Amino acid sequence: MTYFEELAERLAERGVDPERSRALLAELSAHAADAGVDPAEEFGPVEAFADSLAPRQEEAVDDEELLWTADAFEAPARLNAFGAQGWEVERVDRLGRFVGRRDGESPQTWEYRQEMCSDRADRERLAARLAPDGWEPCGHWSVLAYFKRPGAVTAGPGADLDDPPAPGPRRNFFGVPGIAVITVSLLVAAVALGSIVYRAASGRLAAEGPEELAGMAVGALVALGLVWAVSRVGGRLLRAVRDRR
Amino acid sequence: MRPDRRSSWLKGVLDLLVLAGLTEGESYGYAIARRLDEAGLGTIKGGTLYPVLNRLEEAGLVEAEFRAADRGPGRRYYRLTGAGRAVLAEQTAAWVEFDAAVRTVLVPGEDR
Repeated sequence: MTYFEELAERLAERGVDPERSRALLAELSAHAADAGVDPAEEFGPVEAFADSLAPRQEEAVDDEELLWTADAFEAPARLNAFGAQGWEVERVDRLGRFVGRRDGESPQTWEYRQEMCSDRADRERLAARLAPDGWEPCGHWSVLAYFKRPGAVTAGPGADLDDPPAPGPRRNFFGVPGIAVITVSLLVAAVALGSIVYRAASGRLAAEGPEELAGMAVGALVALGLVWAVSRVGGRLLRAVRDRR
Repeated sequence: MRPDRRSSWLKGVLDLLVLAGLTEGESYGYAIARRLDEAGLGTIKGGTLYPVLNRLEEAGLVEAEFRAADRGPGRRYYRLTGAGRAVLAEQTAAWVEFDAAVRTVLVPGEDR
């Protein structure tokens, strides 16, 4: 295969338009003839010359995505473990799952923190307080608010990851404390609901009349009020402790 | 070992020299290389010249037309575009300014 035949192949591999390639090869061939030299001597190695005429289009590496979940006790450690592997949380979805993304071309580490915020205003206050240290909000669910910052803030160029590991197969992280809280909550809800259904089905609810229903309504309102009061007082206490840090 | 500075200097300014070689009219690759050689800039190999011509064409600073020859292979003739003339004027002024600054430092007493 001659120099120009090989060059034609290389240009085709790089997606050069055939007509343009033919004109270019004719031109180069004329140049070599005018100069009276060997093409390899005049133009250099075929591969390098083809690269300089038509650089290979580097294929864009797609970003990776990861959807995972953890209870509030496990989340801080898991967030930072994924962050150390280059996973950036973009948001927290309605089910409280973390929607993560990893830069396909130049991944870097991320740091996270989980905080409790009573409402949006509280989240905004906290975000403003954390911003000077490079933290930015990356999602919230119920009273839990999440913040992220690039590892470069503390590690500089050391935050770049040359060869980030593939994520493990596990996507759900629930520890013993989380499972215990969820189990107790579900049990309480199941017992309450079961009791109402049982009494309704057995006719006791109807037999005891409106007093029973009124009692249930008052009980539910008191319970809701109690939860509201505890969350308000608890939120203020948490905020006071957090702001002192 | 003394590094080959001329080669580095040439690399930085070759695109301008190629554009300048087309101010008087169209020309083709080998003729452009010959003209630069005759001007004392040394032999510019085709492996260096054609990627530069390619980039200038892609940037719209020159345009090329292939013409078949009566005898032997055809040639692509390059000519300056309006954008090419504007870039050449602008970059020539920048080079002259740079050259003056270098001279001020290297040849302090030189009249300019």
